[in-house]
Amino acid sequence: MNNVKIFTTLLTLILSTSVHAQFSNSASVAYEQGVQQKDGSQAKSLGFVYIPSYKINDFKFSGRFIYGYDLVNPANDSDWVDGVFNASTSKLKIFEAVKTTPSVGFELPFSKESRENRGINYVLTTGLNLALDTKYLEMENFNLSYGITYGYFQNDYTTRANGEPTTQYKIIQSLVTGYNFNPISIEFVFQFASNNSYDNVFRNSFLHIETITYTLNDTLGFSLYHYNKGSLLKAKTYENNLKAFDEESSTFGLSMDLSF
Amino acid sequence: MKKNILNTSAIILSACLAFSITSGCQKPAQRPAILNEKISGNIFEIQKLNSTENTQSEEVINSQQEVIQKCISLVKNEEQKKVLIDYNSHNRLTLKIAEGQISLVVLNSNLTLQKDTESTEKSTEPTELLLATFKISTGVLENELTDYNEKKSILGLTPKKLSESTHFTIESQLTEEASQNETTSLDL
Repeated sequence: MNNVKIFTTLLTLILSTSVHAQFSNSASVAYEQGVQQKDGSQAKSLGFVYIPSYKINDFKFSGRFIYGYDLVNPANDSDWVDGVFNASTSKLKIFEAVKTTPSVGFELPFSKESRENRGINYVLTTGLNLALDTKYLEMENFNLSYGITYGYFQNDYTTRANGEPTTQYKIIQSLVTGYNFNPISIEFVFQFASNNSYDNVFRNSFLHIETITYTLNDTLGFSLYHYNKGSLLKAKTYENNLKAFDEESSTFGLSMDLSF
Repeated sequence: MKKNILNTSAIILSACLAFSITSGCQKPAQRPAILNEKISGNIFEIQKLNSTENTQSEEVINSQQEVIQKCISLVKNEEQKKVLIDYNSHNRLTLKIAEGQISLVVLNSNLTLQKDTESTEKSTEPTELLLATFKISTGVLENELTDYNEKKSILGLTPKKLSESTHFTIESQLTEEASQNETTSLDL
């Protein structure tokens, strides 16, 4: 009941201000390919991404929906990525040169792995993003931001169906930087995720993405990218697994990006 | 001033919303543990070995007969296997468990041993003949742990000495006993 009251108050607060709304979408279709392995296998897939967003005054509501179609084993390995829903506000201003964006949201278990093995019902998230206001600093083509998100998992069980421990909460830290040479831009993303199990053990993982984008116009762009992700430590040997390029897990992709 | 109040309110409300939803979450349950696939169908309860009850659960095999059958299935020598099956069909096989091993023995007061170099002799006292020995792993059945000591919902055998063990798995047949290399026959 308390939640309903808080939500109603928040909604009233939003609607009481003068309304300036805008609905926008971005979508992309990507082809991704892994490095050929010693046994001759090679991961190949298509990715479909749709990100709708709705801005009302200083508040933004957005979603992220991704479907991965596996070209090697489509019947078994094609699946959705868990859906993300987010609400953020750009009203907060702490420092002149830093855009501060707090957010709340939730994730739904669209993927088979999350539903059937991990038994996730939903994940509640809250985060804070700090971006350098490069317009204010008069270096508009440059961007730099740091974000931290906390996600609390609502699971059916404390372990997965395969018996392994499951995540109780996660903390994801992201560092994004880039430069726009117009029409070509480059971007680097580094994400560090810490997943805590119900026995209070943290498992760390990383993801880094390097992208070159060619923007044709306001609607269409093409990107070429590389990413590598994995756990921070190798299983069994506990050696460092963080690499710029990894023969086993590095993936290259080409995407067509639409904004409308 | 008004803007600051609005900002602060939005943050406080968001935090309250996140906290109240999180704290109101249902606590996840402990998943019923399942047997590790590696030992499934090959886990036996020690205390039930001497019991005549056949209280076989879905996962743990308790009856003596099941243990005997499992042992026989591991015998590679076809002749020896036939002999064991023969004795088992007459309910003459008995199990003897010791540290790290389990043996199939036959008890018979009219036991006849035919040996290549010895003459046939009859024993009037109950005689115990060792037919086959198998390597076993003993321990207690409990939740497996990860490398970081987290409980998995998988039951595995934690190795223990026989005196402290509740369960065992049969691994393989040990080198055939000397008696098996000799021509052995028994009156059934």
